Amino acid sequence: MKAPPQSRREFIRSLMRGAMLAVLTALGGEVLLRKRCTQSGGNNTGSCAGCPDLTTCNDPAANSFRTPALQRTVWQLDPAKCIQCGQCATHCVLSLSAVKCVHRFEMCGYCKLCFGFFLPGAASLTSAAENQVCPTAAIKRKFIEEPYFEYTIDEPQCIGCGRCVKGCGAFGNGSLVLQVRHDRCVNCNECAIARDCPADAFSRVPADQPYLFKPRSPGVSFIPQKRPARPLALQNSSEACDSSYGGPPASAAKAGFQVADNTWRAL
Amino acid sequence: MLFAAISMVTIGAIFWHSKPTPTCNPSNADCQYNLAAIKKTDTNLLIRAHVQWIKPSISNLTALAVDRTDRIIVGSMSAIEILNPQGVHVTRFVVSSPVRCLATSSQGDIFAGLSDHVEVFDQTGTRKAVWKSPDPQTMLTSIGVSSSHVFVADCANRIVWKFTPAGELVGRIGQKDQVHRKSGFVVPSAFFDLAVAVDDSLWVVNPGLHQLEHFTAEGKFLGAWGHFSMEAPGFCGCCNPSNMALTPDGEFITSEKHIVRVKQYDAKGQLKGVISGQEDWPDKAVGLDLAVDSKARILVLDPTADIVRVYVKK
Repeated sequence: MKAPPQSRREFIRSLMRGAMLAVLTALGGEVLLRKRCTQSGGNNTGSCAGCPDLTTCNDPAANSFRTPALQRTVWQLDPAKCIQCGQCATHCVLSLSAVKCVHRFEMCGYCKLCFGFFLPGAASLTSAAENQVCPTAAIKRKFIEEPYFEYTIDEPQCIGCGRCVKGCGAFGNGSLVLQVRHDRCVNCNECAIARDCPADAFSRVPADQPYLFKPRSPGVSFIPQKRPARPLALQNSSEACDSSYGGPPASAAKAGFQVADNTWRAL
Repeated sequence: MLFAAISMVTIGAIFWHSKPTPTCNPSNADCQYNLAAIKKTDTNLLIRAHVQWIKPSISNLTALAVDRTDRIIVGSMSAIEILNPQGVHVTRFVVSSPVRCLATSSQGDIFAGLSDHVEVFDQTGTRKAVWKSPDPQTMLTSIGVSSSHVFVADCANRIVWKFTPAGELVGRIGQKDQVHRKSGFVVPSAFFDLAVAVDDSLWVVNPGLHQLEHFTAEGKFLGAWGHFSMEAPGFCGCCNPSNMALTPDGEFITSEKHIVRVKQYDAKGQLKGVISGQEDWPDKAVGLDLAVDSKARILVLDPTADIVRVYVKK
């Protein structure tokens, strides 16, 4: 039995030690989970075979199924089936869901009045929190030229609730979609979100084609958008090297979507 | 001291990497995006009765028009059909590509916007002319015929092309200017409609600005009306109205997507009432093309059921 603290200073020290220990324990849990499920030889090809949690991962039965490397599959959700119920935000085994909002810029209208960003009853078209659909303010709005605005996803802030996806689909072109991001997903054998998905929108897809997007309708549902030209006022400013302008040139529409570092990935 | 500093840095790092805190719990009902309440129609505003369904023999309907004798013309992905005012089949003929828009001239010719160009047919379906596409990027969405010109809306170029009845391109209407129309046409989706008034002036929808704009036949901007609102008097969503038509006495009929509703406005742009609300349509109904005949019957294309709905005054 450890003796009680001798002084106020020692008491504060012991408090700090305790706090640090708790923090490191919490961090270590998730790091361990990720490492076990994604280390070389794991992740469906090795010992872990995709575990929903640490307990299951330690269960030998969970490790019995092994998929040949050539047939590796990963979880993905089909945006055409998704009903944006909000469960992706709360059912993932990770503390911050692996499901994120993904923006397909070539479908976006760059609208001033974007319902993926603004609530239908927003008092004004400003970025004030009470006007925003996103509960974590993870969508960034940037003026391009009147009346066009660009919307990008701050992925570390996105919890995958799908509120913006619902607004964009209900009142816009549907350029915002939810997708499982494979830089986060631990590829559980039984995905906790898929198990409870009310729309049965989750399925396994080939690992070399890990993203699913809505098929274009047979008629014309949207126009491939050209990114609005950079405003003249900014062309000679210090923002000329701003990375968000590193996307498709104004002269050509480009198929692609935004990934975590705000670069573009061709479809 | 060293230990305290390390602790502070660690705690700071934890906060910096902390999980975002949502303003509401996504699994709670009060955090859900409630669309049902927004889409509800005020029944006090309903002014017309739905009297007839017309079922053409062709399917995948995309366009609707009425000619000077009130015959109904519908277009699809591969054909055009003509029906008499009661909806009885008269004739149909095959076209080379999907019909995006239709209009008729006072002589009875049918002008069809087929994806990127215009084709002209006589009343029996015989093709009279094929016009050259005005631009490689062209995507036609609406066509209107006046006594001396044919106006064609192009959603990809966000412009209205002006042709002679013989198919010669003579102008562009709706370019940006620095005074009244700094934004030009804002067309986020492929719905960009126009209508020719009885005085041969031109009304064009500017969907991204939620307004209808008035031009002379020469392209001079005369004015605009319309505003955004989720309520009935305004136009909802990112870009509406999707379609419009003019009555013989100069009133406006509009249709919207997202909150699907068909409405009637007077000649000054004041709401007269709702013809049909969201409750009458599937959620995903879009592209409700409109036409008005000489008896002020309002015809609405229902592409989800491949029918034409007819509304008359209550």
